[in-house]
Amino acid sequence: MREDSPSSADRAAEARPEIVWERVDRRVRRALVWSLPLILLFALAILPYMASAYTVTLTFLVFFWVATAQSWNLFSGYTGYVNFGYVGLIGVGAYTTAILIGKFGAHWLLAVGAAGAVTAAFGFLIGIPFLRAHGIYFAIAMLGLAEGLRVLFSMDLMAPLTGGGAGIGFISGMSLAAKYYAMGLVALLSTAVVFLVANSRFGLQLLTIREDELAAQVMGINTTSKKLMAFTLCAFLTGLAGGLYAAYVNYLVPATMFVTAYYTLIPIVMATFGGLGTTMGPVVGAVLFTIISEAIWARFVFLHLVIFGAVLIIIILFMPQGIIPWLQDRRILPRTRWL
Amino acid sequence: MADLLTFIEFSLRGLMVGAVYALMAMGLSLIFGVMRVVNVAHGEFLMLGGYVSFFAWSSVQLNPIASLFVAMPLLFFLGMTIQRLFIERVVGKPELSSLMLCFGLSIILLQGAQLLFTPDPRGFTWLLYPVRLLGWNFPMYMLMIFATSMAIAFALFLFLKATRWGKAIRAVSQNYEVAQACGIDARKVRMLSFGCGAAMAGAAGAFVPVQFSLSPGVGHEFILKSFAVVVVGGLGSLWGAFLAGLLLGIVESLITFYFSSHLAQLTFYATIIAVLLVRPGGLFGSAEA
Amino acid sequence: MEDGAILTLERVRKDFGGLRAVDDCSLVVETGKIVGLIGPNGAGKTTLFQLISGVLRRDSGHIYFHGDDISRLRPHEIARRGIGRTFQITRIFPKMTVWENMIVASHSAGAEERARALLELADLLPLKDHYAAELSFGQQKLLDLMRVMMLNPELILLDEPAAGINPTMQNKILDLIHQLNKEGRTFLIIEHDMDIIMGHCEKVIALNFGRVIAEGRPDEVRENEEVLTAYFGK
Ligand SMILES: Nc1ncnc2c1ncn2[C@@H]1O[C@H](COP(=O)(O)OP(=O)(O)OP(=O)(O)O)[C@@H](O)[C@H]1O
Ligand SMILES: [Mg+2]
Repeated sequence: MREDSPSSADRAAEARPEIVWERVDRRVRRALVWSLPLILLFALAILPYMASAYTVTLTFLVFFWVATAQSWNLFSGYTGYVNFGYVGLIGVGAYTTAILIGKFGAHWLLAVGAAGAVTAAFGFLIGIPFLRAHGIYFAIAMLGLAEGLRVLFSMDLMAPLTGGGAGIGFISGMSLAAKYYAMGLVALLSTAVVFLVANSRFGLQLLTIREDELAAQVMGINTTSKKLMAFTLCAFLTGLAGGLYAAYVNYLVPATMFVTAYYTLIPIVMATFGGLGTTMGPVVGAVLFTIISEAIWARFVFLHLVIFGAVLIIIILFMPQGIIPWLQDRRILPRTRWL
Repeated sequence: MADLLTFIEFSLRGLMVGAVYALMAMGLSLIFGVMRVVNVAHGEFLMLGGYVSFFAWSSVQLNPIASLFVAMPLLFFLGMTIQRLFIERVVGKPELSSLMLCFGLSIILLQGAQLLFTPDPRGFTWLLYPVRLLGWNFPMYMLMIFATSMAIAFALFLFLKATRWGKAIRAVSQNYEVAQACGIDARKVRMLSFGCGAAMAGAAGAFVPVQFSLSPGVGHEFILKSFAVVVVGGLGSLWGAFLAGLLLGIVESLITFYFSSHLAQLTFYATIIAVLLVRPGGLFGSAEA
Repeated sequence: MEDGAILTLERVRKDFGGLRAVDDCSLVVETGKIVGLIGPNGAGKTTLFQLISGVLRRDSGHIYFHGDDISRLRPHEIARRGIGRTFQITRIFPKMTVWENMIVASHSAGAEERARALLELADLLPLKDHYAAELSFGQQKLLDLMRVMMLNPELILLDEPAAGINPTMQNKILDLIHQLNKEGRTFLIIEHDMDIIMGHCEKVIALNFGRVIAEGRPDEVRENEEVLTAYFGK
């Protein structure tokens, strides 16, 4: 127990051990912070010219998961509202691309851009009613939404557009490299958006919703509009990622496109492992899990998801804050919203 | 006149299906009432009950009612174990933890079942012959399932009303601090309630291969229906879950008959959304029997 | 409406099911005063705060702030108009730093200087990079009070600001209240400790069963028959 006197406050502040990262020489730190991302970006930029199609595809998937884990984090990680209907947003984005290319022969760039816009509009519209529901009720409602969308997209009524239960196929006209760069940009954009949000007043306001929504309101924060903004932003980024993902899949069927166990679970696991409400956590989680799962267990379809489920449980039980905050709590990394 | 008769007939059919929804939703509500945890894995408990019943039938011709005596204890112990090992650690933590934990459990059970039982749909026919009741023909199995479900539901009400442990469960769900001050072991009560909740889902599940088709993914559809039920009936309220289960069964049956089954499915999701629109905090209640 | 009133309640009522927590309550808080709100447990004091701050909607009646009816506004709108409040149980943002707790509550320019000055005043500046959860209970109450001040409120509602902390910390909080009062801010304070009420309030309003049973100078209210009955019974 700390005593309640000012001098003890000073002492407590001083008594904290130095952060490991800050023990590194400042020049080295600065060199690392600037050069590492640049080297990484350069390596990723030249990858399609150097590596096999398999590696390029795998990296494309890493990008996809970075983008989705980051988007899930942007809304749920910051506000604490668990979005169990995330697959619905991916689905709307994917179908928008598929329909625009498959039925209307649109150029992929236009189709993917439209996927972002349509999904954002969709997110905004459903956000208005859904975000009125708090906590568990929001989670339940979103689970219902995703399932409702799956049923809706399978209905014969919708068949002229979606192909109903049989699905919709199309040719995107994108080369592997084009898909790779486009998805890479979406992943970069998602991360940049989270980075900007995290270091802004808006980000702090979102965090207050996670911490204590009522207290946030009496502090003058319009939590309803902040949630709606974050949700719409999340939907926009997800729409872009989902739209490009459709170009990779080439054939959308409701039964495989709306699999909660896949497209909702995996971004959640990745974001949670890295650290909800952080900037770099979802990137770490997505890179790590895509590569490890690809190397070890991805060939076994069902086992793949069993392991992801188990990982989620282990994280929640033993490291609920995620890897980045875990390192911060141990004073290895500095406690900054940049990370 | 004929219209009205048809209406009544399908309402009655719906009522009978609704009894199964009621069982499952009561389990969900009981668990929520006692530990404020929304068991997202509840549908998978139902699915496991379904496989117990299916294998009991296909291996030794055990009928679904008899297999309840296997399914319910099995799910009860599975529920207690899961509660003890996992859920207990997130009780009282932010709801994000328990939601994600149950979500993880649900996926493991679902995908594990795909692996073990294959995704093939299963089912069997039992007591398919018609029985005349009130001037309509109902398949015999429907009546049996309805009667059994009612019996189980009332057994649960009785258990909560009349037994020592039942009273302890109600006490904890009404006021946690007071119950603990009265010397009730809240941990045991939570284990017990989770076990009971899982057993209720297992019981509902035992009828699934007869009435519907059974596959590992069946829990997903049922958990959403149960959510609709508990959101209407009030999360935490057992009577609410019971009555709303029957009600939604009727509504589903009527919409399926007059319109389409897709639309009936959408009705459940629409119900969840509609209720939350009117009462964003849901319709609260406690596990009052 | 009286002159110089910052807050006026007119026949405000709130029912919880069958229970009438606030019963046609009318009262006036004058600008610039420190007003105490007393009453036995369950009298409806906290509920009154919930109604004023918009956390709960009143069933009937009106709440005027500077003469404007605010009874239909949402909590954040009321906060922006200049009514700050704390909760009976401190509700800081635990996994945000002390500094972030302060900054996020400000909606005007100059937040940083304000935050610095306020933290300095409360001796919390050295802890600015700690998570609020890492503070002691008393420090959290201080932070709570300072965070409200970031709103730059004209009227501040405090729900038992001195409860559950040691006398040193209590005095510190009370000193702060006086200091902020001198800047022209009005306080409405729920408090059970009669000594604090006597020593620090210019006016006291006593509530029982959701109704005002007495109001006036502290020493008058203390002697009031009905108040004595409410607290000690017949
Ligand atoms: N959300 C609620 N739902 C139902 N009843 C409530 C609610 N909030 C308060 N009450 C009831 O309203 C009455 C007034 O409660 P309130 O919290 O306003 O009292 P108080 O004067 O602040 O008491 P204390 O001094 O103990 O804090 C009490 O009988 C309480 O049980
Ligand atoms: Mg109170």
